[in-house]
Amino acid sequence: MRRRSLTGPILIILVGGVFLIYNLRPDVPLFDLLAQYWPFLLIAWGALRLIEVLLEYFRGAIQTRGFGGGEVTLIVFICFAGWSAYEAHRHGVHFRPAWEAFGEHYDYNVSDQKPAGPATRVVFQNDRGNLRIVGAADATEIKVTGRKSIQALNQGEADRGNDSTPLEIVVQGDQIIVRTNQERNQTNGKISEDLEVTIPSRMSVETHGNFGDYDIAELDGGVDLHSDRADVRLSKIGANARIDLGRSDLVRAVDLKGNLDLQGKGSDIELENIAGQVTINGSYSGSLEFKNVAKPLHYESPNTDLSVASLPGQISMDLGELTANNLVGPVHLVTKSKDVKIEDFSQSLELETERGDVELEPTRLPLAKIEVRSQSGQINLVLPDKAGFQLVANTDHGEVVNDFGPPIQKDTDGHSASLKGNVGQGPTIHLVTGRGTISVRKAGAETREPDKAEM
Amino acid sequence: MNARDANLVCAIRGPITLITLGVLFAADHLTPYSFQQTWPVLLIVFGLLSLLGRSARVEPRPDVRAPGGPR
Repeated sequence: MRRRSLTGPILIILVGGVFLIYNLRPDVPLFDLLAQYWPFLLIAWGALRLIEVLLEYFRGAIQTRGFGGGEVTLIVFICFAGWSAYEAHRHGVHFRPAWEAFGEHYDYNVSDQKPAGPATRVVFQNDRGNLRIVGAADATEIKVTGRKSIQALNQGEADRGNDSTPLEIVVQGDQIIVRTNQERNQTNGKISEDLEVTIPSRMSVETHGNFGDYDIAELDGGVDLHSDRADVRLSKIGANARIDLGRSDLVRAVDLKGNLDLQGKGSDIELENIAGQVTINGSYSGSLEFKNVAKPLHYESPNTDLSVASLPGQISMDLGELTANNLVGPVHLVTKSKDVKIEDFSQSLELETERGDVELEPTRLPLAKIEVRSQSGQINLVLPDKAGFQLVANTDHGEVVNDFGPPIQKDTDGHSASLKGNVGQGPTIHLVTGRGTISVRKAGAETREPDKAEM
Repeated sequence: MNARDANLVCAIRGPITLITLGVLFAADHLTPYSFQQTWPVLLIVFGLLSLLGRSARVEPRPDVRAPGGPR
């Protein structure tokens, strides 16, 4: 007799277990975990079948054969569902199936205030909910108002949830702690609190939370934010800002007098008028805009490593493209797959890319030292008419175009081609690509006669 | 090699492929190696299993309806 496999029953038990955990502990982010760890289901299933087969083999007879049509369909379905869930999870979609929304939302007003005294730091502990903090120069106390929303089956349960999570302002040494005590909630429903806070602007702010956006403005003190998931908007901050996020859709900082240190994952970043140093470490898939940074800027992600000495102009970047103008070097850019266009840079530029076209247009003299290495993609360099430089350019598979005439020698050999020569006095320019055309052009020369374009 | 081994190779082909698939997806989600990069491993594993199956089936298979058992 052919024995039936164990995997069917075990799979049913697993699915039951998942739903049970989900119903009993709605706070566990089960679907996010599943989205990330579902491949282990396949591994476990395969391992189970393997063990079955081996056991039968050593007992003497193999009865189970390959996967049946039903199982293959299920595997394909799991791969498809798991992959979609993971993609959604990666793009910041969080799963809230319809049956999670049990009960209703009950709202409560919260407010409290306390003299700030000599304290220099306010620490916010609000697990879920948005926080808006505004500094006021003449304020002497910390004033909190807001709304608490509790998910519950009935008013009584909501009241119980509300009573067990009082808003507190506690003085502790030279810091004041504002906490919403959501972890003390004795009911199953979710609590979130949106707070508006006014504090003396001389104070600095520290926040800890899981979920909720931060909007902080007009502070002379620093900002230190920690959250698993938050959008952050900072404006007119007088000291350093440190932001540590699990995930974000937007981080915006405008008019920051200190350094900015950002870590996390997510989508967009917008920085403008930053007087201090900017350090960004993480992975961001949306659009990134950096404008007017007075000190060194360093951006490091799995795909891109960018540093400039300062940024009087701007840099815009997304997954496929980087455009920048007016950078103060040394500029250092390593990227995997991006089209890069940089206008106006000083000191030196070192650029390394795997795939993508590069277009450089320095307008100021003397030129910066330029070094570009590309594995695949064309390099287009547009130089001022009177520029002096020493050029070495080489493509393994492509053509070369030269606008500067005889001082530069063109050489072709099979598929590869090179340009070499000195025009006046100037820095070295070194361009290398594995595949693609290299052109060295004169600014405003696009309309010139074609016979002068080639030597 | 005998029919028993041939049966074994045939029977582990599915589970091994499934485990490989799981490992590749896990690597995609948790390490920098994406599935777009690692999918050829599936072909390699499948090829290896086919090779193994072929070498197990060098001897002509006896009656399939009475597999296994000590001979």
